[in-house]
Amino acid sequence: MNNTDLTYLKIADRLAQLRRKKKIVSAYRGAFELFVFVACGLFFLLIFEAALWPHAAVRIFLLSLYLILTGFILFKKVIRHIWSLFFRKNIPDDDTLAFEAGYKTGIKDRLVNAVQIFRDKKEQKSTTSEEFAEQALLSVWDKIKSVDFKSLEPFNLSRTSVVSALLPVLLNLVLFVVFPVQTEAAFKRLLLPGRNYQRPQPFFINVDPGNIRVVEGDTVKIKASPSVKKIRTMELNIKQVSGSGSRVVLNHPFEYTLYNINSKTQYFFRSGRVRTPVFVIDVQKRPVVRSLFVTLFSPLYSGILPQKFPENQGSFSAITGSRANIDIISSKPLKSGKINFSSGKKKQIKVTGKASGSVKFLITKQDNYFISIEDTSGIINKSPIKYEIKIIKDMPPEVEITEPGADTDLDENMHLDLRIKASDDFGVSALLLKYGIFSGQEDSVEIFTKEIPIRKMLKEILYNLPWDIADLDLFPGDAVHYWVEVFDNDIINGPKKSSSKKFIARFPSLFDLYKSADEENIAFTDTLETILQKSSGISEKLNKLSDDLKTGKKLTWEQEQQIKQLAEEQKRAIEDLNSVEEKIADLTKKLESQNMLSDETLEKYNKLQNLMSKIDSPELKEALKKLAETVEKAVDKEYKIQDFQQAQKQFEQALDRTIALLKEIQAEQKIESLIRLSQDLEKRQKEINSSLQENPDFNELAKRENRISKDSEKLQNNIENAAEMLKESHPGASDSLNKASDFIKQNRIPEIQKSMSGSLKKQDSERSGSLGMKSSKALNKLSSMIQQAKKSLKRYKQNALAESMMRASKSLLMLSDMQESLAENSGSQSAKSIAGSQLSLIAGAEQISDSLEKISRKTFKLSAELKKSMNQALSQMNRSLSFLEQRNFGMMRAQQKRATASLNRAVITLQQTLNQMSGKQGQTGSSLDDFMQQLEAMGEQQSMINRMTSDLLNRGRLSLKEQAAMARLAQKQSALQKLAQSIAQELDKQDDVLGSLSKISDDMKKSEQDLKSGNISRKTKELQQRILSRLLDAQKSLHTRDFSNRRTATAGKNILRKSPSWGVPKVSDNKKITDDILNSARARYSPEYLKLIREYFEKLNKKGGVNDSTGSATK
Amino acid sequence: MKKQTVYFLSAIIFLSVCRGLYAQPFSIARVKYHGGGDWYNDPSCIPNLCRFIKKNTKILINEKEAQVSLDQEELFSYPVLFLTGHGMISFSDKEAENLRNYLLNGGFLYADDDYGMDKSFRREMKKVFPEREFTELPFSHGIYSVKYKFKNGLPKIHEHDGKAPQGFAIFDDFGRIMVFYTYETNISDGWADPEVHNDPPEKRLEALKMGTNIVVWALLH
Repeated sequence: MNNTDLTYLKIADRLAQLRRKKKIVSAYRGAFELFVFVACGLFFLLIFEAALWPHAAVRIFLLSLYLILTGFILFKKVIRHIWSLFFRKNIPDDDTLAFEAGYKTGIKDRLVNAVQIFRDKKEQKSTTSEEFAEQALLSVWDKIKSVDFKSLEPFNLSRTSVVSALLPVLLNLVLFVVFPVQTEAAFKRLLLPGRNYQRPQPFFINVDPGNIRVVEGDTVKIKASPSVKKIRTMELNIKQVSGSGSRVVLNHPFEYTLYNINSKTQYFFRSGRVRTPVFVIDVQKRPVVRSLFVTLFSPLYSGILPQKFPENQGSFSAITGSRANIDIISSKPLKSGKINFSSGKKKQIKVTGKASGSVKFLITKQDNYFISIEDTSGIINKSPIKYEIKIIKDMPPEVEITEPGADTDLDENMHLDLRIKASDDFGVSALLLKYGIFSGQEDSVEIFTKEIPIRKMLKEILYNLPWDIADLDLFPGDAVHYWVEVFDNDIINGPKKSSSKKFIARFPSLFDLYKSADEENIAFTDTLETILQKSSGISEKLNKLSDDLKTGKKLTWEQEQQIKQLAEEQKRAIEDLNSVEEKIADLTKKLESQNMLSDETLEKYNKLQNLMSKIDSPELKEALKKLAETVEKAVDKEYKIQDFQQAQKQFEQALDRTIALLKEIQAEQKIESLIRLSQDLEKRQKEINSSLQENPDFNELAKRENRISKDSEKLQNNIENAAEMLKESHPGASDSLNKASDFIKQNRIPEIQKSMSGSLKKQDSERSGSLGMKSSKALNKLSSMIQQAKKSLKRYKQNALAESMMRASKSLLMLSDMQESLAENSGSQSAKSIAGSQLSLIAGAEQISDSLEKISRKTFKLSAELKKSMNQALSQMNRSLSFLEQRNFGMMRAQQKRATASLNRAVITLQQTLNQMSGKQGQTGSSLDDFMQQLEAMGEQQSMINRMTSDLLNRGRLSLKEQAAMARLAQKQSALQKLAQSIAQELDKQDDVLGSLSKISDDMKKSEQDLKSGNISRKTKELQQRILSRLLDAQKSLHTRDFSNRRTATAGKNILRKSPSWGVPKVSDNKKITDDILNSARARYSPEYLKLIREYFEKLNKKGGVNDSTGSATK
Repeated sequence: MKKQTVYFLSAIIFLSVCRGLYAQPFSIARVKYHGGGDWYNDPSCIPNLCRFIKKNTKILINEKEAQVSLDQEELFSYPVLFLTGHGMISFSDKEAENLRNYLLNGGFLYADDDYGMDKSFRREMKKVFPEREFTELPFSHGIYSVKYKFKNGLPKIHEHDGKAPQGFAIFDDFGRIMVFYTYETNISDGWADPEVHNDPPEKRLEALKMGTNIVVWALLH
């Protein structure tokens, strides 16, 4: 190496030194710059951070940038220099440095040039010489050898640099000093840039409750309390997870309530830039009964099977005593549960599974319930559903007695058929018949019970119970009050009981029966009179209409409607009449079955019904029908109205007659009832009297006697009422009844009986017996006195009738005389005079006919023969007038004579009737008894006729006197025949009697003819025998009817009495001889002679008898 | 010896015949009368009585009743006649005469009022015996005790009019009862089948016993 090279090296070294220094200085400068950068950066960062509180990302970004820049600057300005200082030894030629050194040494670019020349030479890049290169080099070295190259790069900081370095430091210091907290905080934040730092707010907001966990449905009250008072408004932001958010501006006191929170909710408050953190309200779900199953077990007795209700049907109806099972499934795991009743009762639910439970309870009353459950979190369900338990009432059973279904009167069978209907909603367990016997004398009555055997548990029962009340030993007047009780099968609350309506089965006393019959009869009369009144009204209106038609007026439409209406009214009247007829028939049957009617009254009732059935005649029906048609058809109105008027008149007449007859029956029945009642009392008294003889039950007898006493008082009242009723119509009967009533009072009959009852109670047989005899006698007398009233009634009627008939008879006789004299003298009179007289006679006959018609309403005695005779007479009288008009005087006279004969016949018939009435007491001729008596009388008369005919037959040739006697017999036979005929006509429905009587009448006719003609023979005798037999047969028919009503084949009670005395006649031997003689002579002598012989011997016997041995009479 | 044997045998034969004759059962005859009355009433009464008599006595009696009219000759074939009904009895002259002869010649008539017969029966009997009256028998009469004892006279079988029962008789000249007539008791109804009148058994028995008494009396006297 040469010098140049050394110089070069030196220079290079110097340059290297310079370089090194430069690097060091650059490093220092870089460090200084870095320091300034860091200080400034720090300052700015601190400011930025403190002022802005950037987001962590921003912070990181800025800080990263700062650090990057710092790092860059460090590297570039410091580390690079240091690196190259220490680690880059071989530095490449740095012309710049040489240049720079040259200038700094003052040599300017010589250095650099030198270095370059050298280097180029060395590299052979330049063509310069070495010497030149060397010289350049050396020259340069000389200049720089003493120069400290290190000093060429001084580490001099300018003021500006210092200031610029000091300023940020100063600023940082100021920051730290003036705002130590904020700066420090900012610095700390910069140290941990990744965090997000809350910028400290100017105030803080205290939030209550903050984060909270609530249960679904709860209410949460949020409140914000700022740390400074100056805050006026605050914003609350709420957001529910499930829904949208909302913002609410609140004023002081910054409260807000969240109701019924069902989902998670976030909220925060904000006031300006101050904001609370977001708080969370966490909602916990409540447990819910998701499914509920009810099973109901009804009580066994109800017969209802266990019922499972549909899911979630918690409300149900049940019978008291039912058991309910409730199974539940919860929405959350269950910890416990309860069933709560509104009555206050609670019952624990047994948890049977994770989320299921079950409870059982007994239903005793109507109630409500809900189920409360608690889940494992302790949350309970809210607002559980309230279910209702309704009670199905076990209704009480029902029972009714459908038959008889009303109060009844017992008949002699003493049997009652009950039809009982019982029902219950769940079943019947018992049926009881309850009854008590009331006689009106007791204070209290024992009630008896009879269990009715039924199939239990049936819901509906229909039971027919035949009840024999005869076992109860009722007395007349007693009443059995009965009812049925039913029990259901409710074993929970006890069987419920219901009772049927109470009914009375009355064992009617005779008084009751008669009273009831009386009332019905009065009702019938009233109804019939009303019908008659209405009918009369109809007649009046029709008459007016008819008059209008007769005058030629045409009927107006209103009048035609009126006619129709009148026809309708008449129809209704007929219907009412038919209804009364039915009721009368029912009453008759009832009275007959109870033996309350005498045959006479029964016959009258039958006659009455017969009459009533004929009132609604076919003619009336036809007339009504035609009348209704008058409105439709224009023709024949007048005639149709006239037809109807006629039928209407007949209707009224028949109705009038019926009413009269009914009243008559009522009067008779009234007295008959009194007779019956008195006889019944007498009979009862006798029974008590005889019971005294043999171990009497005194108490029982005392009761019975007491009843008799009460009944005697009733009888007295009835007698007085009857007397009052009959005062005007039948004064005689009324008097008799008054006497009877007085008799009761004077003899104090009820008091005697009452005393007897008292004695019986004291068991005083002797006194009781004596009083009983007294009472019995008095009752017997009373009965006779009342019977007297009946006779008076009949006599009065008879007398009144007889009087009327007498008058009619006399009038007829007069008329007959006048007709006869007109017939005889008509030859000497003018036609006009004859006509005038005849017309008067016709008027007279019509008048008598009317009065006979009225009489016939009161008795059945007047025969059809009489009516026929009267009609014939009238017809003949009218015909005589016709012949007079034709100037046929011969025929006229003939008719007049015939009319006279007819009138005479009528007189005879009337007289015969009168004779019969006066001949037989007690005959009214209208009753069964009367017919019986008549037939008996006829029998006797026929018997007499038979005997006399037989006598005459045996005489052979008859004398004049005997012939006259035969003629009289003929007349008697004739009268009998007519009577038989008239009876036959009255008994128009008695076929058996009628048949006999018809034949009797025919036979009588033949007998009469034989007697009249004098041709009597054995045949006549046989005929008469036959007549008598038939009469007896006819009696038998009536008697059988009578017999069937009267006869009671009841077993007789032995009657103790004294034996009759021994009065067996000793028939003497004389008698025997007399008879023997007669017997032996019988074959030889005629009956008449035999009779004489008998009489002779009888007389002999009376005087002294017949000598035994000789057979001759003794003196 | 031969003769004695013949006599002996004849006597035996005669007695046998008599015995045979007398061994024949007799019949009670019911009287068929005219007049319209129900002579045929209660057809079971005579057969029942006869059965009772047969069972309780040694009398040979036919259970079947005979029926006879008073004008028939057969009347005399019956020792005991029975007459009953409800009335309407009528005897013709011939019948009255026949009956009179029958009774006077040992016949016996028992008449029982079946209610309603009294009047006509008495009237007709007046035709038969105009000279004789009915006499009421005392309780001590043998007819009430000949077989069965009836201390108080006739038993009352049916109620009728509630009067005491009476037994009347018409006697012949020797004091023999020719006609026995019972009134207000209806003995013969008690002989009828039980279901006819529904009489209590004790009543029927009483009636049959009294009926037996009557027949026994009639046969013995």
